[in-house]
Amino acid sequence: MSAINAALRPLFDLLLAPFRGMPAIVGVTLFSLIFGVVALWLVKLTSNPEKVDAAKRKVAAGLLEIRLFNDNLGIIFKAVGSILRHQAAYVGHLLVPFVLMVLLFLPLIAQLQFHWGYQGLQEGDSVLFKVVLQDDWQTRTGSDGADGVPRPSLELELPDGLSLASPPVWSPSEHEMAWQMRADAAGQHEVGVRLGDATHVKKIGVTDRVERLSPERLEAGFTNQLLFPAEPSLGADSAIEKIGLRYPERDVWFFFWRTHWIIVFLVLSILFALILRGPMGVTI
Amino acid sequence: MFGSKIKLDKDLLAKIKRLADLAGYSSPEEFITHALEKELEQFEGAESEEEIKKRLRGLGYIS
Amino acid sequence: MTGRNPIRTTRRATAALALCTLLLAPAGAAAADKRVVVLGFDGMDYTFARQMMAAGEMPNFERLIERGAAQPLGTSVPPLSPVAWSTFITGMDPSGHGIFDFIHRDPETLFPYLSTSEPEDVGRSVTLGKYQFALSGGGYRLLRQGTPFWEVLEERGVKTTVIRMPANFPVSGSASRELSGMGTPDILGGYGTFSFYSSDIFLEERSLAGGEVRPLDLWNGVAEGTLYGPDNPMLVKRTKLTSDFTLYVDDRQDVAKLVIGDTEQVLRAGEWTEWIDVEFEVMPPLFGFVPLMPNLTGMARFYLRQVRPEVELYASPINFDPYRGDLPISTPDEFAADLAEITGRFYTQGMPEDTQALKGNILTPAEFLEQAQIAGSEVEQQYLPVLERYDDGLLFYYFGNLDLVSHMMWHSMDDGHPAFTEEKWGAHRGVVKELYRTADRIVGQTLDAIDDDTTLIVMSDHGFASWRRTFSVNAWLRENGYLTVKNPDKKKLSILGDVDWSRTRAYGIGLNGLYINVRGREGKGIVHPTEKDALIEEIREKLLAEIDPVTGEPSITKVYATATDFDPGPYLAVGPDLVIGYAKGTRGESDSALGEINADVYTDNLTDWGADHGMDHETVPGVLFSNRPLKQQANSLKDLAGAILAEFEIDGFPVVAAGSQ
Repeated sequence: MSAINAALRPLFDLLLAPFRGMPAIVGVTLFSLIFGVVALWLVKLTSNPEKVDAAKRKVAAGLLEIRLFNDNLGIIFKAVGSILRHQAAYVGHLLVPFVLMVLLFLPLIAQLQFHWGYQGLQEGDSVLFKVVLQDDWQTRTGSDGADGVPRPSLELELPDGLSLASPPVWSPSEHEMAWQMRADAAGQHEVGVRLGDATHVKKIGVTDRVERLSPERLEAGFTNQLLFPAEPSLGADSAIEKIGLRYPERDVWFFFWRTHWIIVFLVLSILFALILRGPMGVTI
Repeated sequence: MFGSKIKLDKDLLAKIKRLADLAGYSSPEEFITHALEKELEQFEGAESEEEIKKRLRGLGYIS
Repeated sequence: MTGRNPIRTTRRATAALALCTLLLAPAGAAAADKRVVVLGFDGMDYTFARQMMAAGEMPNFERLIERGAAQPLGTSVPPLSPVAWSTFITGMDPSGHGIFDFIHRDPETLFPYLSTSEPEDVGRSVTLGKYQFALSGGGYRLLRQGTPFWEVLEERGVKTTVIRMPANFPVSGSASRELSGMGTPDILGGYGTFSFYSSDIFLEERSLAGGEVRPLDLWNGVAEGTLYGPDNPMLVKRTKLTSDFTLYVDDRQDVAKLVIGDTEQVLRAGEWTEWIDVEFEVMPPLFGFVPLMPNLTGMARFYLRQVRPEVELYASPINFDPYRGDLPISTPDEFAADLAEITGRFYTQGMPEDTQALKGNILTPAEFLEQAQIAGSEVEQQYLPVLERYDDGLLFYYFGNLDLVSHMMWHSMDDGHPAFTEEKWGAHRGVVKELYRTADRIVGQTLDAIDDDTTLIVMSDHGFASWRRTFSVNAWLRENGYLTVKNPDKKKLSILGDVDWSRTRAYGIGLNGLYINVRGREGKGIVHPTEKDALIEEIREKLLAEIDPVTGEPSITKVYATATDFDPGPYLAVGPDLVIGYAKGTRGESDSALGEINADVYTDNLTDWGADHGMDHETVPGVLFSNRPLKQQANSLKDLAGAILAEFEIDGFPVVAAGSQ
């Protein structure tokens, strides 16, 4: 998964580069068109149109039966049974393309989420930056036996454009170190988090453009990389569980409706698929 | 005192009788009435005098 | 959200009506071109302002009156802000607008209430188990009566922008743009209740005037506390809504991380937060995630007072969020959110300067000044954007900071004040002057922004005076045989419960109000209406003869009988029978204003609220400055709106009675 993401990140950065200065809805619309077309193409490639069509006609027939014989309970029961059976068959015929779609699109949608799902920090913003350590961070860092409250020797290396607004707060119960950080200048900044000999880099985007933003850099793991692909994972043996900050969530404007991009994306994808199924000769 | 009779657990009644005097009530009835009134207050819409005054004291002109 | 708020519906109807009137208005084109800007500085004192000007400390005021005018502006009787501003708004005495004091009383029960607005009763509700569902009500009603002057302007086609006018909550709906100010409640429905949290286990959990002291459970560097909201409207049993927060305290440095809802922030000791959402869950979601009712969301600012030895956190009163539109605070509805968009969220409650936290020794004078600075600068920051967006017609903009800070700081200039000590107040002698310099800066910005044809009026509702001595009217009435208590041995006496009404002819409620216990009006009235006038005369004479035994000076210099000294008006019955005008330096006692019967008539004012204006109205006039002589003379607040209308060449103000138009 890490390798796939490592390839996908620059690809999506490149693909979305032309849209950075535009409202997110432009990119969302174009990509939902592409996704709609690809989805139809997958259906065409992997499903049997005759069987799909037959199942659809059987369902329609069942519905007609109910309307015509709505005073005959026996027929209605039989018709409902038939509808359910053929509906299941219909879903079954489209199962392969559907599963393919999910497998293919999930990593892609995860990539897009980190382009369209968040807004960058603005100059002057103050944000909490935190480093959460593993439960066994003391063993991993070999810092057992310290006097008083055990406290990791965490240091930040700040680039120009970011500054600290507070000393850190160490919460032993959460094994978390938190700083209040101020965004002084625009840019994709890299903060170095040094723990012992290891230094991890966390990206922080101060921008009003639509760019890739990664709220959290997480420990290694398949799901983490599947769902949070915007940054490479921390090393497998790192004492750090995650490094993160919170970006404001971005909503997109869809006519008079302000909502999460994924909703607009799904609605538009379905809409495009419905419009294009005729011209593309696809039965769904 | 009560328009209609209300059954109370024997032990509870004994406890009330014992504590009514300690709590400074003239009779167990008074104790029970007071306790019930206090509980009922929580269900009634009207605020108590103290609560109203407390809110008015939010005004700096009044301390 | 309050989608079916009846007030809003009425306001929309009024707005629609106003629009029709506007479209149908035949003339008004000439009036519409005119521009008048009115800046209201609550509590600006004429004498003090002139002294500052003479000392060259208010150059922009000098610039303002170069070709204009300057004069003291007569204030209302009594000279209290809600009364004074209502008089300005309507051009009428309290008898015409119905606001006689901060505090009025219900004649039947004598319960005190806030005079300017009241929560509407929740009407019928449906009960389902432990839950109840209200079918109507739940809004607020403005109690100020009469026609506001901007309504007359709008009817003649003049656009008006009215920002933070006191005694205008819920907003009138008749201005093109308006935002409510003094009188707007916090989420608890009062004038603002702060919370103070401490990990000190010896600190008692208790209620202060305008605030609550609450515990902070500190364990292993993690401190947990709870914010309290209003009663849960959905529960049959009265239960407060709550919202928890956590502070993670660093073991080395004076910093802590505050976590409340979705917000996390690291704070240094002595640091204030921006506005943070405070969410109250009205009903738990079904299966833990299906929301059944929207949460009640407000916002608060937090101040980490200290981390060691004890953790102390101040939370401002929880305010309604201007983005959410839960309260009718602006016209149009989205105007409050538009302002927040430009300058960030702001205190929506009226009188946000937390004087009570200073009085309760929760904040030091320096900390109070920091809080007041935050509140004041929110108002100031919004001013220029509003001024820039103002094209023509009337702009009224209100600044309340000068008044509330003067209340707490004026006496730092008065070494003879009983509460003055050099170590507490000596460092703050210059604060009031700084407030006037801020006002001067605002006037300067305005003069730079307006053109030569624009009339600029700077006014205030009353002046200021050091408040050294208090007078307890109920104690005086008792001492003079007008009020009799049931049990003289009881320590804390109040007219609610402790008075023998069969032997009581008068009582006091409010800062300046005195009421006769009239048969047929008061619940247990004994004075026959025909004997009322003679009794009023008798009490008036006695009060005017009062001498403060400590100063040897008269303590009361004016007493007004409302029925004869005020203009006749439909709301006379709402207010007191007598309004007491205390001598400069003396004011009505606070507890007495809520109906309590103190032991002593006279005491020193030992509170941090060291200055006031609830005195003889002739001793505390406001100011009236303008950049040109006004077309129509205004000697007092009552004439001022008429004079503003005259600038637009519009007459017919005040609008005398609603029915006679």
